[in-house]
Amino acid sequence: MKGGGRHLGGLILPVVLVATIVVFCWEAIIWAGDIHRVLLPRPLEVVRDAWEQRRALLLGCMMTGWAAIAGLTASILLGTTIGIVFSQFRRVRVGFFPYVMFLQTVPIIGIAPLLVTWSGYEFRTVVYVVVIISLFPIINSVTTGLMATEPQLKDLFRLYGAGRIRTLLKLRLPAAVPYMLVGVRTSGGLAVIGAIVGDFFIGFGGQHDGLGTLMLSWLNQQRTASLIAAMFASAVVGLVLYGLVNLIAVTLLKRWNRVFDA
Amino acid sequence: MEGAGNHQCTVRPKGMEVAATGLSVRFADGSVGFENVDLQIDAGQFVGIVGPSGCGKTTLLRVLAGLQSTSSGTLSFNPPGKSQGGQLGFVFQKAALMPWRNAWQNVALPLELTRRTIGEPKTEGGEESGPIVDRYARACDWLREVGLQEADFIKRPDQLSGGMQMRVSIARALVTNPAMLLLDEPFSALDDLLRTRLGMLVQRLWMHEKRTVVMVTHNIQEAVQLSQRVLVMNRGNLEGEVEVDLPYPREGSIARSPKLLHCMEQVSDLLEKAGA
Repeated sequence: MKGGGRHLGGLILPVVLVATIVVFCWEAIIWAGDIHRVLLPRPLEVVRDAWEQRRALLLGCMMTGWAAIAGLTASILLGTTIGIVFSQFRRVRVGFFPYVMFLQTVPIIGIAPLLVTWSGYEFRTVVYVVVIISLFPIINSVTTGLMATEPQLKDLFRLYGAGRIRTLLKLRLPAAVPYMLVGVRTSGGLAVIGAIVGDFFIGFGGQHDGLGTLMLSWLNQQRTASLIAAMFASAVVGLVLYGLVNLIAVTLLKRWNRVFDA
Repeated sequence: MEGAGNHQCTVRPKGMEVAATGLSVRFADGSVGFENVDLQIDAGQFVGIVGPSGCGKTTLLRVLAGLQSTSSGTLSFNPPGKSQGGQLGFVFQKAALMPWRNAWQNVALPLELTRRTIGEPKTEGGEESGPIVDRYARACDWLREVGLQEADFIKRPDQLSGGMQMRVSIARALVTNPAMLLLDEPFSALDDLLRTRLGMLVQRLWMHEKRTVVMVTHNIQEAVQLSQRVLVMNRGNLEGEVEVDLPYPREGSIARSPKLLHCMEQVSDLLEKAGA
């Protein structure tokens, strides 16, 4: 955390160097293999398309980003609630956990068409897809965190006659925060994937023009340069969300003594 | 010295009396914690319990704290109504502080948890700030009492040294002004110098307040130097006890006196006779 300015040069230089090498190889492959521009456009074409489509791309990023953030937020609220219930009632946990595992194992591609059928070609459907894909890590981490409370601290609360609710609020929940943040970090990455998959299924012409929607339409028009630009845009959305989650996590964890290796 | 003990408005006899007969603990898996223990602890006594690991001494302490239920026997306290009102303080082997709370907030925790049972002084109009300010003041008094600097009061546990953390833990155990203090191998994770210093701190606090202290340890010297009586346990049985008739404070020459060494030998003999 200290000496950020000094390390910046050391961090940025290798990254820029790698990017330069990649672009150079990219050009070299096209030049050497005489590859058609529909298969692989030149880097400059990608930049040009990205500039031309900047409005659509920016709107798409915002749409997809909003869906991911809304879904992730819903997942955090829902997952924490479920985690609390699971940690407090053993029978509920034993009965429901296999079905929660189902959330984790079912391919999101398999659920998305059903969700579109039920909820329509709308923004909210994308949010549902995000919730389904990002819920499990949060339930899992919150449940684990709530049940991993230090035994001596639990004894301390018993000693002073604290009931279940007070122990939950004053001890178990705060002690579970570092665990929860690990789950949120995993879910943050999944949320962007979920949002783009959701976009894909809603398709063009609906109420929603997310990045996935744009990709689908450009795929049909064989606009490969725009597709590549959209791919980079989705990576940016993922990075921004990841950064946001990490920022919140690090800020929160300053109060906890666990080091969060960002 | 002034301050720490004077916040309590209810007058409570210093020290708790404990009487146990035929006390046994059997765990769910069939193993025995300890068996048929008779125990009488007078109000204000400093009692040490020594024995090898697994002898049941920690289980006995947990029974006294109400954290472990017994399978048979009777156990009574005077004044009655043991744990729920902050009548007991417990210091664990580890400091067991909450990492998200700073030092004074950790110390104030028992006050928050026993708010309803202890009868904290009510402020006019029932303002929420009243009890919080009072809790803060009491926590700080105790932090000073155990030797922390003002600047450390707002430090979180990970910013404090191991010895400091243990001091905070002791302050937390005492903040409700309990009639009995239970210590479960409290300094075993610390180096010798800190161990001696904190032992002296516990001794000073006991001499000042005369509450009942029960300390479990596997360090014979520590037990003999601090306690009036040392109980020897092995394999779930109380094997005997040694009276340590020496004046307090036991530091300097008294800590190295032949009489103290003799008591240590007696405790060792008891342990050896028991086959430990």
